[in-house]
Amino acid sequence: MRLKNSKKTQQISSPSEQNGKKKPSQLLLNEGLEAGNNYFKKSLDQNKKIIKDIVGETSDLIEHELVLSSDPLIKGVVFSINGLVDKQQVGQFILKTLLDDKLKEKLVSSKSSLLQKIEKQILTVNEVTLETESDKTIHALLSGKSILFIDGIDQAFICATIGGEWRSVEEPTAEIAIRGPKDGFIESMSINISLIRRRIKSPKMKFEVIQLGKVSQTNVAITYMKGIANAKVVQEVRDRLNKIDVDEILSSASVEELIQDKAFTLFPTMLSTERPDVVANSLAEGRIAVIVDGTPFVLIAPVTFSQFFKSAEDYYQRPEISSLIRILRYIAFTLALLGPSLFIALLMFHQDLIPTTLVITLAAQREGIPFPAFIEAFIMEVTFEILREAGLRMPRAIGQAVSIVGALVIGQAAVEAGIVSAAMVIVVAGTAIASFTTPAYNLAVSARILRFGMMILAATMGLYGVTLGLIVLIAHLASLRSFGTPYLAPFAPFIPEDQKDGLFRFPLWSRKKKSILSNENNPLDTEKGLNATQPSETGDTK
Amino acid sequence: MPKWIAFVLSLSTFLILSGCWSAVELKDLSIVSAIGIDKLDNGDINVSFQVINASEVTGQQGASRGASPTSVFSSSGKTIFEAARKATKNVPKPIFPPHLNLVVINEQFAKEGGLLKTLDLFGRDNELRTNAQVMISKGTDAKSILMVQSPVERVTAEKITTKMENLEKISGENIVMDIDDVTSALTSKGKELIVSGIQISGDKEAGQKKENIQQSKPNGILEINGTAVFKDEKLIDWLNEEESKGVTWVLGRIRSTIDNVECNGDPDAIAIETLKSNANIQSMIKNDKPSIQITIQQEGSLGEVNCGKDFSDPQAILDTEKLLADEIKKTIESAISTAQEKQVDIFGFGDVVYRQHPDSWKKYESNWSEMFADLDITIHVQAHIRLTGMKINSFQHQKK
Repeated sequence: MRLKNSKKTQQISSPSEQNGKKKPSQLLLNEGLEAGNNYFKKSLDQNKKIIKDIVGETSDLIEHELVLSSDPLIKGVVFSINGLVDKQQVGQFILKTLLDDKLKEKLVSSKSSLLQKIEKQILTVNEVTLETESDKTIHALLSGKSILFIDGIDQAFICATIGGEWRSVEEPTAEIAIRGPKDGFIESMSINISLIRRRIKSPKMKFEVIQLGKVSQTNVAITYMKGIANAKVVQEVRDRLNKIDVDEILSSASVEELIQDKAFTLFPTMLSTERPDVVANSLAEGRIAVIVDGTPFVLIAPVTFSQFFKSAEDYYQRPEISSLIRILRYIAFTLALLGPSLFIALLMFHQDLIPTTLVITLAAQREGIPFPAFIEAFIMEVTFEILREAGLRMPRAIGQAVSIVGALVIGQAAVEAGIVSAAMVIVVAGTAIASFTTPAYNLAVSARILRFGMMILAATMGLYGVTLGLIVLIAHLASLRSFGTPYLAPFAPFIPEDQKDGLFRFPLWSRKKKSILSNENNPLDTEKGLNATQPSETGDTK
Repeated sequence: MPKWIAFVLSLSTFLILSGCWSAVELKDLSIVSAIGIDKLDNGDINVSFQVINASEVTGQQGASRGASPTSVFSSSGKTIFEAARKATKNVPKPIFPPHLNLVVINEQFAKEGGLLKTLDLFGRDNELRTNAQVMISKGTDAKSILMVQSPVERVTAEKITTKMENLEKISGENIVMDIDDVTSALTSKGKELIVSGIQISGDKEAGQKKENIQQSKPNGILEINGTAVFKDEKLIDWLNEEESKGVTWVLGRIRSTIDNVECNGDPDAIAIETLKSNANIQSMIKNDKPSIQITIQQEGSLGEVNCGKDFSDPQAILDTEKLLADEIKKTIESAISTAQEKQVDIFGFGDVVYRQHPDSWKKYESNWSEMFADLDITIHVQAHIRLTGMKINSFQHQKK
């Protein structure tokens, strides 16, 4: 069941556009659905049956029968899903208005049809749409809207009463800025959109919402600034999203995995952030954001390698400080990648490159160590990875136990036992700390994995091996593209204007233009890399 | 074949091409800090290696066995290389010489022209460094020098090399010569080689025991003494400290030194510290006869004044400057006269002539040593006292 290019997008900013337009829907809510699409009937009982046949047998479906007036007898029913609707709104703006004593007068007095009366004069709920098809209605119901049927009307009133419990907007946990805004995205897409909209009050900003996942029907919003973002890249994001053909989309990570340029690479080609200010800044620069309902992480594309070394904090501190710290991050990343491998290469192959006093100290430390330097480093690195994983996965209550045991394992005790040398502990610990400085967690993970490869190269071929590894790594980085943009830009290819926010951060007054990499005026030929084949489609990369 | 398989295959060739054959663990190496070269009576060359006992040097808790910080192993052969290979028999771990600091050459061996024999290996072998200092063992054999236990600095080789560097920096009485310097002096025709000497002062036997470093006044210590002068690659004589300093002045390598001058009848009442010096050597050819003009520019400060002279008077400073200039000139003259007497151009005047008058040099080249002996050398010294230290006048002057 392919849904390729079939989903219609709708603008959240102007939902009324969609009203009245009838589109042949090909959406299927459930693969097990037998009835398929149904059109509502005039009979209330039949409509109730349609809904119950599809959604029924679940305890969270709330059905509320109403008698609007006894003479003439007008009956109705309101369906909603427990927990997804705002019960106060349903009670106050739907039930209360429909059961009002004065309702009868309104129903009798006006000349217009019953349908129009209810929609235009009676329901006080914020947003009401009419729907004749069952599957769209049920999607609305399952999204948290309430459905009202009136006897004798073959349409459903869809009332926007979305509510329910959300985590409140809190400070982001993974990206911390000391001087920046403290709000972070949450799991609700509409709240996330509002957080971005509050920062950029421009009509140019568009949110296009599509539903992805055959079963989950997750809302995914493509966000961009019309006129600033490169239209071709926007179209490419749209196309790639539309090609997604999976059952569930439960997080932005799966979207990233399905639409990234290259299937097999350790390097992220999309930035994920939980900071609205980062998204707002990226949008203003002409990048495109993809917001996935149910995840507090928003994806940004196209991004370059240098993007992963920028932290939101950089823009909230003085440019001199930010520039220095940014350079520090590059150094720390290099250390995290090469620290143990350089140490192994020096210890096993190039003892003559170590200063004499240091070589004596190292030799003294290594006298009783039973393992070669590589095995020693490998043991330490693996131990550290185990500790880190344990620290992440275990319940917080027993966190202290791990840190105590960890300090013993990677620390003094291991050295005193003569299993590892003190210098190796310093190198491994330094590497670990250096790896935490990368603002983007997913890039830090790449360095972690590559570190082991580099260590093997260092142990077999010394500095020659490390150099070979670096050459291959840089060649790979140069071959990567993020939605058409070369991954190593603005360094390779060299773009003078973008150096102002590359390795350094120039003062804001010196940057007349925004980054030109991502927007309409991009000087680079990005179209070549645009038509990347989806891994989900061919099972291979281009 | 898919592209990535080809890629992985081509990458794997690197593993075959290189491999880890040259990997060696640090703990499996004997780090050599100094090499001593002696000649045995039977004509063989005896090479001694001073190997560092790393755990004794760093003083790691628990690892130290109270052994000596360095051990000396020696072996002999017809060539140095052969002897070094044979040393594997008694050195516990393979010899690892890149951290070599010092090469000590037996005085007797140097007199027989052994220095030149030594140098080829050092320039050729990839594990040896040419920045190790070269010294001549004075009055003893090179092996004994390496065996002396030295207090404060545990590795004697390091102790000697840092001491040499300091000496050159603060006194100018010795010149640091590494293997590169020695090679270039030996191959130059307009310059003869000088190398500092090292000797054991005190009890030679007691100095080699570990107890030597356990007492506050060691029985035997290493002392840098004198400068060996070479002629035609052979050691011919030693310069004393005064003469060595004269050489250093001419070479412009004085960075700091102390000179004493006369004051109110006391011959060494004022000590002047040189802070900066510069030497300029010019050669002139007159009537087909070369002559050399040396101009020394010196700037210094008053280091110590033990007389009542009034230094607030500029004339007193000028007078002292003149005395100092004479003193420096005397030092240089003593060095030059010794060198001329022995017909060794340790100053490199020949090189100066070669640089400034390359055409004439060809004529002098063959008998430069004789020409150097009666070369006309004029010395100009411009001495300046720029500072008087933290005060101007001495206590003696204040008492007046």
